[in-house]
Amino acid sequence: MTDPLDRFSAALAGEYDGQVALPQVTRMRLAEGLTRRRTRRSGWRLILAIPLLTLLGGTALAATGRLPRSLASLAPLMQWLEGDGAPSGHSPTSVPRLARQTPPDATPSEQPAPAASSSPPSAQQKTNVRSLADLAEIEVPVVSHAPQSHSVSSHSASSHSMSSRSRATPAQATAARPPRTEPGLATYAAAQRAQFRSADYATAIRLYEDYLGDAPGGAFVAEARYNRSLCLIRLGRITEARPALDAFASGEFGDYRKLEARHLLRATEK
Amino acid sequence: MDLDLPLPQLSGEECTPGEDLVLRLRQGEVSAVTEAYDLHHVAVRRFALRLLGDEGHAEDMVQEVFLALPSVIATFRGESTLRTFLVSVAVHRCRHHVRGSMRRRAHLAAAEAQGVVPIGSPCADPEQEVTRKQLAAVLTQALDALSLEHRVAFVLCEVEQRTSREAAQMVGTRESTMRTRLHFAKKKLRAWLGARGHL
Repeated sequence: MTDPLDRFSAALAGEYDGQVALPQVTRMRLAEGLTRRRTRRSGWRLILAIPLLTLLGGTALAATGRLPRSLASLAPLMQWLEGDGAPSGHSPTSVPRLARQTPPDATPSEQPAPAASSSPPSAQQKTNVRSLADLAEIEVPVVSHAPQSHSVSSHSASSHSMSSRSRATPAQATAARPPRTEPGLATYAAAQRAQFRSADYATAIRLYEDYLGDAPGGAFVAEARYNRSLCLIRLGRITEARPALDAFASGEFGDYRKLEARHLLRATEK
Repeated sequence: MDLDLPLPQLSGEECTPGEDLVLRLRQGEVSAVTEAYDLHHVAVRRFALRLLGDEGHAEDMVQEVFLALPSVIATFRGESTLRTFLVSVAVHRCRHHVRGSMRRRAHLAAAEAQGVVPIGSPCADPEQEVTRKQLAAVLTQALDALSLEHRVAFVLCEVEQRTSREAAQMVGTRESTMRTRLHFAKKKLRAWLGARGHL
């Protein structure tokens, strides 16, 4: 016996075969919806990522004892944001540190690339080195850890540094500062002076290597290695600099100078 | 039955979907979603129309299914076709569309009763097509009298001609439960149609 419902079911099936609507319109709405959703999601990710990264970064810095130093390095930025006067010609994140560490007669844009101590690079290489040097000059590391007797202690530099340090509480600063008896600190400070004040990159490289030899587990090993690679670039010794930068770019030191190293590596490939 | 439960695992029929497309869907590629839409929108829309009896809501449902695809594709393990999987996604997301389409029909019926909207525009379709449309409209109205579970069971098994096993897998219930639902759905429909002189 035929079920009387069957003809109703067949009628419904025949009536709606899925071809009668407007598939292209729905397709367009779908694509629009997907794009909107993606944009919204990435916006939320960004909003969530900022406090999360701040928290993680702060925790990591506190754990490694670098929080006071990092806070101090932010002080010029905060001053700039508060309207104390914007540094001219550079981004607010890079300039305060440069102003503190680079001598007045050796600004990145004006300072010529020094001649190599060993073999002089070719003309093409020199051009590359010049642009790379400009690039490398931006990546000046923080030197506020150096002991006061050996630190970059010119009045112009130290006054800025001291004002930055005063933002961190004395207890924090004392706790975070490495013991002054740490071996090789004087060498490290001398290397920094050679690099940032005298622009004597060959000496700086030698001193950084001395420091790395004296204190293989020292507090500034990463900084020393990175600075050394910058000095190598300044001297046009790209092939030597690349393996050193590779270590940073591959994340051997976590996120420390990772992006900068990648950027420099890309630049050296050109 | 909670139709918003996680999607069930499905077992095979037809052909397995391209692994590449599934992989790209899992990576959230927009182009993969539109590609899946191009391949399977007819099947999903057909089910949506038959279940809802309303083109507007059916289109919304189709859009919702494909919009949800990047997030639900993680539950797809290739044990069924992507098409069947998409219809099961539609099953799990149909609740508010069914309600919406029912409300719309109720408003239209009220408007027709008051003479605001003409009952049917004169059309040049052959008589057979008119009859089919009338039967489909009556059945859609009758489906509104069913619970969502019974409605889904009837559309999947009787209108879409799927086996009770397959329908049970799509809904995420036992085959025996699906058969019971289908039985009661048909019983209620017969009663509804009989009471209105359609049988």
